[in-house]
Amino acid sequence: MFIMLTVLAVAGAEAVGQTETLVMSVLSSRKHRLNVSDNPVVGVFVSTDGGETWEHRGWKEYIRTFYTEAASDGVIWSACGNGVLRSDDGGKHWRITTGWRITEVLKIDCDPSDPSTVYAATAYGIFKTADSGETWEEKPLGLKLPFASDVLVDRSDSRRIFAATEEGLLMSRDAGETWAPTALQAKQIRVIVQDPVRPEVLWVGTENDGVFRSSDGGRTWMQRSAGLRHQTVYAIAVHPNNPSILYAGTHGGGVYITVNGGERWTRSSKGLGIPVVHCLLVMKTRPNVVFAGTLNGGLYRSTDGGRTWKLNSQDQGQIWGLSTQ
Amino acid sequence: MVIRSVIIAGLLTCLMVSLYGQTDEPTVYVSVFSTKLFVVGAANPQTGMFFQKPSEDTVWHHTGAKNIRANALAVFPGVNGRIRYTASGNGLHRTRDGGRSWKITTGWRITEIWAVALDRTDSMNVFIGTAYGIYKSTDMGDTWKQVFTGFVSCVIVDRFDPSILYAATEIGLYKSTDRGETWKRTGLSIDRTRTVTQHPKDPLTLLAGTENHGIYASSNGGKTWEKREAGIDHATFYTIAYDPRDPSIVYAGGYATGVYRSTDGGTSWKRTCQGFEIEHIHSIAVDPVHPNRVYAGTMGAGVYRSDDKGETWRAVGLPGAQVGRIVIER
Amino acid sequence: MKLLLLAAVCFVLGSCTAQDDPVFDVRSSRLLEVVSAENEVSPYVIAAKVRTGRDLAGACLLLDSLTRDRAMGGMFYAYSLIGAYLFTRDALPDSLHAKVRLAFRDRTMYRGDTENHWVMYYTGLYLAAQTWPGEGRDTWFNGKSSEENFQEAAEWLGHWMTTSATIGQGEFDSPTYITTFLTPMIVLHEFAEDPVMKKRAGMMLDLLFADFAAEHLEGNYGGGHSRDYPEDIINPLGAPSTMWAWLYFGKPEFEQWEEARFRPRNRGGWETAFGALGSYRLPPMIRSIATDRSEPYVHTETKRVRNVIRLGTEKNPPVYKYTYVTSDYILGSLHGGILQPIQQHTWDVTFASGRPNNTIFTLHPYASGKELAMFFPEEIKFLADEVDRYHLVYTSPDKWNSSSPYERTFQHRNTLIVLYNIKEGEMHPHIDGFFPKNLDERMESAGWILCRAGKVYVALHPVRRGQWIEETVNWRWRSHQLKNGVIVEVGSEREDGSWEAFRTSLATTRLDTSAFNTTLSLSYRNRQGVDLRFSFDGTRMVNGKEIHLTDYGFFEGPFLQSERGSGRITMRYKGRSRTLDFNTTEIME
Repeated sequence: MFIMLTVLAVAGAEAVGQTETLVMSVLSSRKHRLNVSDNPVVGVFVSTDGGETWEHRGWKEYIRTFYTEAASDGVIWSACGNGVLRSDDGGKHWRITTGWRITEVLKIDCDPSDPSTVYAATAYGIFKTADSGETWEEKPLGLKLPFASDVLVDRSDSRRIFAATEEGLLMSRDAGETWAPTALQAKQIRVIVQDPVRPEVLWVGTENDGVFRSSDGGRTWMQRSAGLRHQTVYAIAVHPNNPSILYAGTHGGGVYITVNGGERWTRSSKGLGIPVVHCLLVMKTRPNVVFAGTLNGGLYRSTDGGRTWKLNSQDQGQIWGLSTQ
Repeated sequence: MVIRSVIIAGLLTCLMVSLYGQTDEPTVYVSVFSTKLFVVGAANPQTGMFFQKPSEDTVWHHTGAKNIRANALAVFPGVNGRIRYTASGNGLHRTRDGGRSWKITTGWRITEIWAVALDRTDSMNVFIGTAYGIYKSTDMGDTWKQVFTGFVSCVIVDRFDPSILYAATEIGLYKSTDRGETWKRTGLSIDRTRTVTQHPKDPLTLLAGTENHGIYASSNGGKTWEKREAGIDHATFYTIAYDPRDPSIVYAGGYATGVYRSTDGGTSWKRTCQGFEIEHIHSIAVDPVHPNRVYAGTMGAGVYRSDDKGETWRAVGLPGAQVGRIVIER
Repeated sequence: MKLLLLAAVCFVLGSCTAQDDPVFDVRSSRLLEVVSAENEVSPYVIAAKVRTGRDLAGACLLLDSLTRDRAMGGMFYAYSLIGAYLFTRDALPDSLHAKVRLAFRDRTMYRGDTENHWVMYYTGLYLAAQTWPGEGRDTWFNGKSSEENFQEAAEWLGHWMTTSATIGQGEFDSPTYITTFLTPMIVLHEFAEDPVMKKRAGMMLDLLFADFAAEHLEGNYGGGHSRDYPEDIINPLGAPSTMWAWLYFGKPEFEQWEEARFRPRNRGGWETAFGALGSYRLPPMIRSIATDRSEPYVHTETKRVRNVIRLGTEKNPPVYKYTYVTSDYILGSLHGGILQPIQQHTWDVTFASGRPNNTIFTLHPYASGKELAMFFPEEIKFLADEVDRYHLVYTSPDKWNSSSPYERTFQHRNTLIVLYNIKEGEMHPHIDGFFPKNLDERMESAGWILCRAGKVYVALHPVRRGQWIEETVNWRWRSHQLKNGVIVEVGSEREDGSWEAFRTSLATTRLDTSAFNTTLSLSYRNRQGVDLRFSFDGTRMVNGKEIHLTDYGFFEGPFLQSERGSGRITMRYKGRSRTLDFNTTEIME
């Protein structure tokens, strides 16, 4: 009897379909036209069934949604033309947390050790909030044109922040207060990714210069572009359980895969309609399911670890960002 | 009352996950089958799934249903423990939100689950080994299909090719090459095989533990097997575990064995059993981040831990517990 | 005390002029009569219908539709909806008050990515937050309270006004986009309750109109433009700016919307109706500046490049502008290079002829993802395609607007030298010239292309020859030489006496191309005997003396003067002056 009660209580409690929340940011669509009313809906889309179905969340109007990330407890952060938006109820209601000084926000990264701290990479530099978006402050990079494509908080030490700029990779050791160039200079950095297993391993994708890897937390960098015939890399995704498997999203070459930690890359774009891949996502719970977001070609999905691709949704859409919780 | 405490336990779990889930310290999960302090009808110590960070030492947190006889557990890797299963007499308990909420996914037809195996490449695929056979689900346990009949104590999915599975059964060691749909006996036809484990880097190398017949090794995916006898004084092995970074190091444990260790990939063995109150070892797991750290679950004396590759051991909590299974995941 | 008195005088003067402007009164009545008869879902039509008392019921239906409209971009919507509402609210039924309010909760408005977008967006938010104060975060589409919205909008609008009055607009002198600055400022000036904001909005209107007036001729917005659409570049009187000139300057005489050949693309936009309804009145001095062409004059300006986000050295580099204005034509130029993305119009001569297509210019059609990436944050390699979608002409080899890094100008009064230095491998390795077909004469003689449009004479001497391609309304002159140059001389019957005299005077000019192949330099003695030297590297000399573009004023000419960064702009006309001081928000006469 006792056991039965327990069982019932437990059985009734499980939330439905909360395994892995995928969030897609559709910046625009080739089908989009200015000043017409029947445009395709863009912005934030969420899937809880591995991409079988996607549900739009919140703002339907085109506000240039670049990247969106679900945090915990229904909190969603979104990087947009209008600024950084935050929802506390899973995307039903949104608030623009930033004022007029912050615009063209391309990427955000939440401090994994403190959910109220978020960094934003924008066309005008790096900004930070430490109070869940109530106030924002610029963290000057010291560059004349501080355009930042990406920002990353080191999960093993959240005072270490990396900024991807047009002049190279910058690093802060004091949570954004001061910045110094890393050894990776005179490169236009597009994306920076941390190995999910070994935090000291970092990957960087560049405009025209391929892929670089650091195995010492960003101090030294080695080119890892063998086999990469398209050297502009917008996206890098590391297999969640096997960090020697990586995917790269390139301009012109679609997706490349390496199975030996970047020793050799092989193009793997079979079925991919548009070879401009701006974002990639490997499902944590189904690592053979990989998503590639293209610019003007929509979202593609592979269910065989990236060997073959099929259009999943958002035909002709510009899929700027993908994230998973 | 019961309901409320379950909810509180759930909240606590959720707090723990958010506090600890994001560091690089892995999480140790154990399933507790019973405790020697158990008295039917009394206010008993909890059983079921417990977890901790290694830095918490002897502190364990309970999660999910209390007072279930948890024979086995499984944790999907790489998602901060969000997806977990506890196998019990009641059926298979599942959480998909890090322990906040749980559900029993099996009905009355499935009981006495001894093993849970997950496909690392797709969390939808779940296999369970029970006293009555092997069941397969492709929807995280919502629906099940029986694919093998017979007593099964261990099922594993090939780490390199998820269409291949191995099962330790009472009629020998079986293999499937079609995602568990059909099964064929391998070259190991000894009755009552208990455990099988795969080399972390070489998919064709396997080690199997048996009831009364010691340890066997295969280097060709199960086609042929060789008995390993060097250094072994015991006959029943419930658990074998490779060091994931250095697979020349292997640990094994079973009935009255304490812990055996091999430093040549399982060819020869040495017993290292200082410090155990009870030397029946039902499960061994190696910390994937700090491979010097090894956990051993006893049948009645809780969890032991070594920080020197199995040389010395000390109790780290859950006194009196019969530990079904230990899993360490990031 | 003295200041106070002065302010009081100004106020009284202002009131007097507001009542005493027969040109404006006649034209605004006429405009409202036309606009109020329209029947489209337009905030301007709605306001005109209600305020003229012509059709309240119809206006309410249209406003009801407007509150549900999804086609208009968020920023266009924000200020025009609140503007229509504030112009009409006393006459509206309760249900519509609520619907307009709800539009600011349910319609998620895009702020946009250009200067004009932000002016519209923040004007809309400012007035909406002022109209519904004290309301919580959940009642506004952006999750900010009335006070937060009001404060943010006030701060940015203040910032924009200060920037515009010190280093200039990024989207300066645009015949198209001037509408998107004037209209929000008219609404802001009309309805801002804060007297400082109201006054500053009025000063911005003065500044925008004065800026236009100094380069205005008979309804045309002359000189270089930061941004314009090709239809308007090749047909200047078809631009939206003509509507504003008609209403406030009294020029041109004809009604633009009634003339098929000048009918604006956005007919039915009718933004000027807000001006007709508003209480802002143009200071008479600005109308005089716009219309008194008794003496030719040189007018220079310093503007700024819109925000450069990458691939540059500076966020807002200066733009140097030179304009020569006579009663018959305006010859004007930007100094060259990439000053604005996509829609730049670097130089032209525009003549007061009353005909369509009354302009001549040349350009290099440049298009690259790199140029776009200087200004837009999307991926560099992707951007050319991307913008092509919105501005279909961007990657066309035949486009009529372009900013090219391979083009530089040097102007001295009515003489202009343009140099081209196109890099090998560019998408479009040619330069084009626009010559309207309706010229009275077009001939070639002694290396000159000679054009006559009524009493205006234009001569162009390309260093290297091109070919003629016939198109619908124009001839396209195209040269495939990567390095080229064009000397432009403009005259008129008033200046030269006759077409023959003008042509004869060209024989007195001397062009030395000896350094052209090596340093891309030209030495040229013009018809007045002035020696000009110009190199692509930026050396500009007049009679041996080097010209420094940095010497250009923020505004410098007989009518407008201002030092860059000062925040003070002085207008002068016939011994009187009017100074706008944006530092103190004061107008001194």
